[in-house]
Amino acid sequence: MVFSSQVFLFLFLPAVLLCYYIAPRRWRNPVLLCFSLLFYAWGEPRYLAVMLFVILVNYLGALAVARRKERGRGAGGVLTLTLALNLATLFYFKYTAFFLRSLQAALPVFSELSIPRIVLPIGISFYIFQSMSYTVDVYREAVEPQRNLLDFGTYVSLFPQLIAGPIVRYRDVADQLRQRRESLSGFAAGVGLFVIGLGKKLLLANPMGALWEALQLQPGTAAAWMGMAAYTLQLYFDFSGYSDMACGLGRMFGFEFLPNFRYPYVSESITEFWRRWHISLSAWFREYVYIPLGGNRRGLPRQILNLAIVWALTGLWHGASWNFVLWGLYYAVLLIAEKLFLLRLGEKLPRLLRHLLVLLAVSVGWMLFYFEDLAALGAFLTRLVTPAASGGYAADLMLSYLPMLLAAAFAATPAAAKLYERVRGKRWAPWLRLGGLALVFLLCVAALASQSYNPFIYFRF
Amino acid sequence: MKATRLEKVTCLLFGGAVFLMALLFLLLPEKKFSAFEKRYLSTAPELSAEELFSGRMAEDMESYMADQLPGRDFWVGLNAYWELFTGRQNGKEIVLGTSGRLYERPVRWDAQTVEENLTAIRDFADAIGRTPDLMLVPSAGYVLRGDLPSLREAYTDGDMIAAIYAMAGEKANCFDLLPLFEAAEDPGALYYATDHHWTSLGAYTAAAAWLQSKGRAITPAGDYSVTREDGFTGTTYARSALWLHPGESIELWDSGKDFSVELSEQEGVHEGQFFRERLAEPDKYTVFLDGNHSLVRIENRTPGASGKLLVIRDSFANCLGGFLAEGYETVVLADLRYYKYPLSELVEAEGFDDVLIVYSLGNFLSDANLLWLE
Repeated sequence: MVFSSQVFLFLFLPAVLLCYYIAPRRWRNPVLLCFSLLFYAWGEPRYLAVMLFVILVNYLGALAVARRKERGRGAGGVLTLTLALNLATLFYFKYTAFFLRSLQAALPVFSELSIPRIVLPIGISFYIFQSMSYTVDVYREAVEPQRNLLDFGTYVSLFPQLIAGPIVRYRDVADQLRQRRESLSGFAAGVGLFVIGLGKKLLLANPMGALWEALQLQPGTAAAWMGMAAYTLQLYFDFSGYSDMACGLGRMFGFEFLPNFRYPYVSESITEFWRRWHISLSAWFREYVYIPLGGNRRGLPRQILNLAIVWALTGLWHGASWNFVLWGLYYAVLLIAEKLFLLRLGEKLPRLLRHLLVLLAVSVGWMLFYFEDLAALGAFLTRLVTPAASGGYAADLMLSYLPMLLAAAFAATPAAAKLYERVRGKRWAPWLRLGGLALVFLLCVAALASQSYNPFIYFRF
Repeated sequence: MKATRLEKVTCLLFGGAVFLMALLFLLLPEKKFSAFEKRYLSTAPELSAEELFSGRMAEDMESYMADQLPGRDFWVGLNAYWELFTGRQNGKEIVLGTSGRLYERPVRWDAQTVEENLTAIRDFADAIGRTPDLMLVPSAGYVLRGDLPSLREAYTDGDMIAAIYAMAGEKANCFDLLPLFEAAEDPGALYYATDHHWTSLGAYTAAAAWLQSKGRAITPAGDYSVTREDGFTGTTYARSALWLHPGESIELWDSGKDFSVELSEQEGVHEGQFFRERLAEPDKYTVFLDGNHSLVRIENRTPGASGKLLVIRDSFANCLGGFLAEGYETVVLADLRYYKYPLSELVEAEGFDDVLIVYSLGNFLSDANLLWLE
């Protein structure tokens, strides 16, 4: 199920809110667990088993790790086994076909091998990463193992962040799982976040997606640039909108998740961009891959290697295809270059130019991300630098979407939030904001009622 | 921390909205048909293990809720106006003209369908041993292309019709409406502003010229007694969801000739060509020959009428049929979307004097049912 659907908004959500709030406190986690399993099973009932398997593996694995820690030996072996099971599950469902195809390309001997058709269970990359963070943290004794299977299951399957993040570390919500205080204030804040996220998805990301789809087919340099801008905006609003909705829903049930995006497109360097984009994922890779590999403590050559490994994996996490690996390595190169000299060089440039260069680098990056076919990618990048006139239809398309594109670009900056800060103290300001939220919600329902086409981009991951 | 009034109102509004929508959805009776959208709505999916485990339940439930959403027409309209307000009119199925008229977006050339349809016509001509007439009706967007916002996707009906006529060769007498329509005093009066069909004037203009080419007579335009029915909104209106758009009037042109109509799916004979009782229904356009039927037979009982005409057609001939009937004693209209018997047999049995194939260009480019001509 997705949040931006009528079944979620007008059946699932009222039902879960009602059951949750009439249930006595000790029944609230089981209620959430049941609804989360229903949420997950809704579109793909068969893959419920995969998630239950992952829950069990990490629940038992972490308990065994903790027991062996007490005894003083053997914990590492259990940890390795648990992580191997997690990664094998992820590999099987996400990378088997990719691996076999790459193998065939490299070694024609295997060309007879048939490639199985495996459907990717929704959200598997997210909940496996969450679960592994838990088991590793138990091993590091950063957190107590969870002895209650229902509570642990609630953590892994919690529907707000189940299918598209943020990747919530267990230790960040361990206390909230046991004792959290739901409040009207928290609920109201959650409503605000949720509605903003819904608006980002339905009112900004979807139109930008439609524009990108349409412009791709149109000739002309301007059409290519505007199309790239539209896709860049679509990705941000789609994904950050989903994160906002997740955080907002979490707050309605008393959970507080860390923010996943902080206006990434205002960054002045690629390093800064990755501190603002999909924060929970970068944090995960830093904590569980980069630092264990030695991070920056083993000399520059090793640090460069570590960065390359982390970013190749980050790319691969986003999708089982070489273009994602390429996309990850693209960032590895940029980040290493920034570490070595680019940051210092950039400081000499005017701020605006730095902004624009970062935006350009990120947008071109999204093209690597978008085009799985390298030839198509090459053709598109060539279009960006080949002067060609756009046809009348493309011109009309660009003109008619220009207001939305500008509005979206504005919404991708903290400008509106800053403006609001200025008037925040005024009595009417919060009411005006509430009115704005109500309008956004109405328009979202209208958009939902009008469209059957509503796929979430981040479902592939 | 105690919640402020603002926070309480926020919770109340949001909670109220989702619960109210849920309750209305669960309690309101299921709607079968949307008058605005002119289509049947999806009904509740049936619960079964197979539905559930295949995941189809989720899809069906989503489209069911989309169709049954409380206040659906309002929401769809709100979205249409939001898109209008934010300028996103490009690429929509319905194009808003500068005058406020609503057009279908340009039709696309489909070489395969054209070839198949022309082959069907050629085979049909061979089978009946005579050359049928072919009349393709250009779209309103083409005839009124000056009304479109600049830079919009271009209508090329003129080129497409010319190409089809050239390809048809000698197997069809092609009748070109374009010069006629472009020379019209007010081309805007030939088509409805909220529907894709031609108006009575448009149909009359076509019928008069075609009958004349056959050496047959029709009442002069000024001699009809015209009644106007206001409040008509048609297909382009329904598809645009711009509900605040004003309706227009349907004109019924009565020549005073003595007509009776038989419909294939109904018993009995209907007196007169207009089905006025239909004007009370949401789809007023069915006043013309009762909407779509596989076979319609119009008898002209006016003394002196002679000849038999077969019209192979789409819905544009609903309005055209009455005018054509003025020049014949009998007109039979066959709609191949519904009539699934070999037409050559009908021709043999009835002995028609003339055969006219009349289609809107859009249907000719997309409808594969001409196959049933044989």
